[in-house]
Amino acid sequence: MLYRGLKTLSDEEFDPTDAESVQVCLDAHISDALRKIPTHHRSPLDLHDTIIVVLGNRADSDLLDWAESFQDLINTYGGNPSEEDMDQAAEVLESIIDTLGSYLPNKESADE
Amino acid sequence: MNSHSQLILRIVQTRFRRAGLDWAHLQESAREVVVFGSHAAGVNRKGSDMDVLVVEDAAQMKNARLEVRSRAQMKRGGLDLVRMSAAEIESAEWLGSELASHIAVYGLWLIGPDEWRDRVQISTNAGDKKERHLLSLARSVDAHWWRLHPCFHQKYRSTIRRELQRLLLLRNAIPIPPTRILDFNWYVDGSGVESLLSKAAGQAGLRGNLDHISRILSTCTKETKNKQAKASALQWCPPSTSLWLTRARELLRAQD
Repeated sequence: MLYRGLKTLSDEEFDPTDAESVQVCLDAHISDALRKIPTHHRSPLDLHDTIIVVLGNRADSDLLDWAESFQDLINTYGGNPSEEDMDQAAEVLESIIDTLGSYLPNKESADE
Repeated sequence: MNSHSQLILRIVQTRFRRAGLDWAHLQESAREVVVFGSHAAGVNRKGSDMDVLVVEDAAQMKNARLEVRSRAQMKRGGLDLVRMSAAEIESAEWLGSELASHIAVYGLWLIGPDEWRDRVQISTNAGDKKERHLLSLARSVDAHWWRLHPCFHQKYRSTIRRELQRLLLLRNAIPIPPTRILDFNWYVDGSGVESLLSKAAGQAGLRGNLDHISRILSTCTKETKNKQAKASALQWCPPSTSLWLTRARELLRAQD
């Protein structure tokens, strides 16, 4: 569910000129993922924490670094990331999706 | 350097070390290092990020793109860096920006002179930018509201309320205080969402565009009536911050 959500974010929703809407779409995908895996969290989860919830201790440190960096890139002070930051965020998102895909036994069906 | 600055300098050095960055190198290469945000104003919480502006020569900024791992390490080290070139700092766009006006009032210079501080003047463009940002955010949140987990509802109510407060301050050429002071004023003022929305309706750019904002904020009454939140907002203020709060209150009152 998270993999599919992030793919949609990357393919259809990622607007490099609008970091806020990227963040809102990301939160919507995190919400979808959390609906499938109930947690007791009362405060909003970021992508890093959501990956931990979804993958548990199988999540590798590169993936977690990328997740943390992605949120950081789209959330710079004042909500105005530079063009370069957003380009880097798009690259990092691709890496996250590729790595998440490698955890899926049946990636093709998740792609559909 | 006074004792507050010395304390901040020690914390910055520790955070740089924790983030794997070389403070000694920065001391030699940076033109300015300025701490801003909650730490500089003395209203930080435990775990608050340290916001630092680093001004460098354009040549040094070349190839300065942070690797993903360093960025993650910095975040974990509680460090939020804004890097700018000396030329950018001198630009009219920067001198009229929201962040420049915040740093000019609340910033703490650890390295370099604060030469541009007195030349900062909030521009109309800063308000316009904030307005576009707010409207885009509100539209997006409103469109996804039904999908967002309840834990995100409170986050976005607060974000949009704060952004609206910031916009009203910018329109009155008042530098934005750290978020904690903004929240403090919100709880102490207590005039609520309706009052905020009626002030917003007075803004030409927002008139006719308030639907999304008011839909999100109208579910906010619980927040304003939450005595516990109000009490904690009133309790956090240690005596050392009273000077900042007095200043912030004066600035905030000036908008009325």
